[in-house]
Amino acid sequence: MLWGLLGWNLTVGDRIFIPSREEYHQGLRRVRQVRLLGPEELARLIHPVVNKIKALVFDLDGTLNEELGKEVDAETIQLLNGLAKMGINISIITGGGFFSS
Amino acid sequence: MPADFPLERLYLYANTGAVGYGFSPTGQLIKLYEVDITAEQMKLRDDAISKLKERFGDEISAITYRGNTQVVFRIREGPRQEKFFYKAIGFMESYLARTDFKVMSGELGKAFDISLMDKSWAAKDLMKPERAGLRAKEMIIVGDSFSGKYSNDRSMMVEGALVFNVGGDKDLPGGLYSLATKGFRGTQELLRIIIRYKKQIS
Repeated sequence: MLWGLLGWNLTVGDRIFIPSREEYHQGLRRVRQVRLLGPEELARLIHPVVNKIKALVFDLDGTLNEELGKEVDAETIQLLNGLAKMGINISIITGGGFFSS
Repeated sequence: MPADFPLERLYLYANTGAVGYGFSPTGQLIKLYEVDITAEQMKLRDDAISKLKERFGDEISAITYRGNTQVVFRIREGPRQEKFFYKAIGFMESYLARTDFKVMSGELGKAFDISLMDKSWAAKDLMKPERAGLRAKEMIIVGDSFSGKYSNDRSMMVEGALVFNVGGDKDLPGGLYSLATKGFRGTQELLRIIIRYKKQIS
């Protein structure tokens, strides 16, 4: 009854999202449900397109390293090295971070 | 980087894309471009910072990187940090609306950038014929800051490219894939899969 007065067309089982203070300040009304890709789903997604891929573009901080100011670990560098040797261009961008050798 | 890394395949973009670097075939670092801020833009940006400080007082501190990008952050962290942050970034976005400046954040709740550029440059620069001359559909883009409308990796979502998120999953835009494994471990997982299939093809 109350929901109807508010103009919400709800039925039993519907979930109501009430924004947190933080979300309210971002102007959000609801949060998108996200389906996370595990390794197997990721592989299925990559397989048909891998032949077309000629560049990998990365944010630096939190994506290639642990967080702002931290070094990229040796294993990640080796993986990038392997891809560059296969002819893939590697592009890395940072906001307030920095590059070192 | 390892000595055998093919540096001619590596492109680096600093300060939200304000300056781009590549490497010569002999491995020498080359500056590809640098965006300079005009005197008029600098005045507009400085006025905006003054207004922000006027409104929010000593809690705001600003640092300028290479002229183009200004990083603004709150000096003292406190219990109302996030509320303060969203008020400040919202104020700045409104003030700089209808200008060439973009207001965005890589660390929501802590700091934000005011910049003439955005992080799409890491992809768009590669599309130039004098660089790699690539098309968006030939690229995979990976970032960790897509949550919320001010997140700075959102600008990396170049139409046509395959985009992956290894960061938070709250309030994500449509058109990207979010990995279950987060951070650089998620990126490594993706890279291993690409290498595996590339090896199968060759």
